[in-house]
Amino acid sequence: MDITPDSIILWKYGVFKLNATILTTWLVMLVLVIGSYFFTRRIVKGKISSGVETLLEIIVGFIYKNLQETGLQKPEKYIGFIGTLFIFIGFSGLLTIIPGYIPPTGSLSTTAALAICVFIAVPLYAIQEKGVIGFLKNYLHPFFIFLPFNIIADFTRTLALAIRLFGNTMSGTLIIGIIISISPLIFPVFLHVLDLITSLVQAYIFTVLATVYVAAATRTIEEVKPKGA
Amino acid sequence: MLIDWFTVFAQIVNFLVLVWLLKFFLYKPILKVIADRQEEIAKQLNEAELKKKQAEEESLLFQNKNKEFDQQKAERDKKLNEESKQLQEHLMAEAKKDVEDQKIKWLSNLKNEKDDVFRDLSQKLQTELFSVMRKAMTDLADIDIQEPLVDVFLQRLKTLPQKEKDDLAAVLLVSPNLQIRSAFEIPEKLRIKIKTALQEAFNKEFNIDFVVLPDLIGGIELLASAQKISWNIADYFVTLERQINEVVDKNSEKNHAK
Repeated sequence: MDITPDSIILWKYGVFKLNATILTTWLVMLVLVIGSYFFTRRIVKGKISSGVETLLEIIVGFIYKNLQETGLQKPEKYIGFIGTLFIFIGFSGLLTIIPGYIPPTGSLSTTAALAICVFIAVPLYAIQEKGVIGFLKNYLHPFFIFLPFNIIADFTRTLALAIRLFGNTMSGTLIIGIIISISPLIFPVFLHVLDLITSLVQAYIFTVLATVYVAAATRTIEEVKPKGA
Repeated sequence: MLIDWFTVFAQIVNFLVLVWLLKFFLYKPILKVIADRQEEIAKQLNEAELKKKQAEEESLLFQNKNKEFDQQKAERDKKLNEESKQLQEHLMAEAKKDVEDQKIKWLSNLKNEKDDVFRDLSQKLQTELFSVMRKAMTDLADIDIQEPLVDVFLQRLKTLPQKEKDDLAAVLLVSPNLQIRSAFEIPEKLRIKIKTALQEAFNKEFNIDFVVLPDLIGGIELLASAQKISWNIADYFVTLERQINEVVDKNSEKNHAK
């Protein structure tokens, strides 16, 4: 059994290769983009009529509200990045309901890529909001002694993001594979349902953590301090 | 190795492409719809608030108008009451005045009628009485009533109060013309008797003119300028009339009081 879909290589030319991770990612992207285009096109033209359109609105509204509640001042600015994290991870996990489908989030390369994206996005957003000096001051907060710890924290949390998501997704797939080999009937179905819920929870955790990192980085020190302090 | 760096790079690119695509196809239209809807709701809420405010203002206006109307109605009712009271009092006063006028008029008419009746009655009584008396005395004792009447007249002339006698004398001193009026033709014998009596009373001769006036009813009058001495049945009837009047007036007051 393969631990990661990266090892399933479908095509290779020099350093370029097409593996199962990239292929399933493209598949997920395709479904998401075409679905969004198809349903939102009707939303734009008139009132919401079908359940899917309402569902899309609920999802987007949910993400928007979460961003707001986490403390981000302009949710519409971050919803593209953070919302896509949630939708991509969640949808990738939900598609495991299709037999033979291996989620791209079950690859450490994918989760690392997403973690790297967060790792890069956080300082970019912070610089955009507070400037380079303002961003760098965060590393000295609360004292300059904390500089190395803050730098280490940035790397470790990125690593933790990647490994947490990979571990949970991969473990789910592995557990189901093992259970199927032991008890091929009925029992794997319940585990599969549990795995679907887990994948949504993982998507939520990844997104909330990313939001918290962005919010923490973009907030000024004055905002962090309580009033009158 | 679990991490394939080409795959990592490819997935970063894939993710960024997905972010861009979803931003364009998913978030933008849906957020726009949500914003539009919120704007619409806010607009409708504002309109509702505005209409509520207008309704409240109109309600207040209506209440004020109602109050004003009630006040005007109360004032109008009060004025009408006062006017109707005044009118009632006025009509009552007019009615009282009319009744009073009618009463006065009725009493006046009654008095006039009474006077007329008594006048006629006394006239008839005098006439009848004198006629009966004369007839009775002539028939029973063969005495004419004229002579006793003249005697009574002369007796009265003699017993005239001094003041009246002086006044008459003063008048007769100026003018010796006298007029003797009687209801009957005085015989010559009685005329002489009268002349003699007058000469004795005033020591003077007079030019006496004897006139018959049936209205005197059994009486004799002496007329000298403005002075007059008389005796006739009418004098009795004047007394009688006064007494009867008093009785009638008392009865009338009693009826009126009822």
